Amino acid sequence: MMELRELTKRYGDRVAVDGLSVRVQPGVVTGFLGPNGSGKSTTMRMILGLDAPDHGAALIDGVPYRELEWPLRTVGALLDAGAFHPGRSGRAHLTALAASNDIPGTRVEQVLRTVGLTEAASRRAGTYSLGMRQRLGVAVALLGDPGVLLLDEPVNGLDPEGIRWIRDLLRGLAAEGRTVFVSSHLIAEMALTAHRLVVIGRGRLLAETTVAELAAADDNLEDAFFRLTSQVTDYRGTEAS
Amino acid sequence: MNGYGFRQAARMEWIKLRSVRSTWWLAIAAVASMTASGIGVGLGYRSHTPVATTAQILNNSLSGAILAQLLLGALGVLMVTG
Repeated sequence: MMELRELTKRYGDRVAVDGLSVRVQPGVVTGFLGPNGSGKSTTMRMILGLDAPDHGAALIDGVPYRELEWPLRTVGALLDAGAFHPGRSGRAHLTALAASNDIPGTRVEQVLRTVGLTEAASRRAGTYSLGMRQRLGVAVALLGDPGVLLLDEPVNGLDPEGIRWIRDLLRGLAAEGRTVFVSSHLIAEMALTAHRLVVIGRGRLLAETTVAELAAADDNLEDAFFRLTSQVTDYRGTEAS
Repeated sequence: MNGYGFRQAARMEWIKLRSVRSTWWLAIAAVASMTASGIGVGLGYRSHTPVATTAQILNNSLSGAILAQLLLGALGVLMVTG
């Protein structure tokens, strides 16, 4: 279970996240939608203790991230698929992280198999394709077998097979009773993956609903998303002239 | 309460240190450069008159130590920043 209580973050006089209160339930995939710059990544960073909120709190199983006994075994996160040393092998990257939380080495081989990187595990991670980097990031998130998963744009760079794989993986993890919180701006992908949706714009909560409810209000989910976010998009292109 | 502490951090850093090639290259370079300097200076002293004293031989053999120290210093920088 994850709970955001009036989470607020300001950068100078710009409010990135504004009084965001959400409960993310276990057992289903919750999609986290919003236009670019709406505060999705800042919210994720605050949940993980990488940014300090100016007001409010982000609680995981009732405590802030930094008070967790074994953070990697409680929360798995993928924020940036490039967050590794390019000269270190995928296996060494995972083994080092596992050591930090007393996770056994057998678990490293397990997650490598889950994400399909066993063959490439001894190669330097800098030689990985974008899709493989994304898979390594997912492996890091799964490493501690955590009950809460936070994934920021996990389908970026994945091929169609990879997209289907991660969709099934996330739904499977949620079905095991985990809390799965996935940000994306690919609405069509969220419609297939998520059950619940949290939509924000300019740091404020616009809707907390299910995919079915939101899509039912308009013709489709994309129209519903545009209706919700039409007032809060910071910039917008026009047709070519 | 955090379950992890110094032991976990030390193990992680040790794995991180030995899993990049630069660590080994620097360690090898430190040993090789010190050995090579010692041998080189020693060879240069063979024709030295009067014959080198024990203290001079010892000093010559360690002539690469400063270079090796610089390389090990670079290794230390990589260790704390990597």
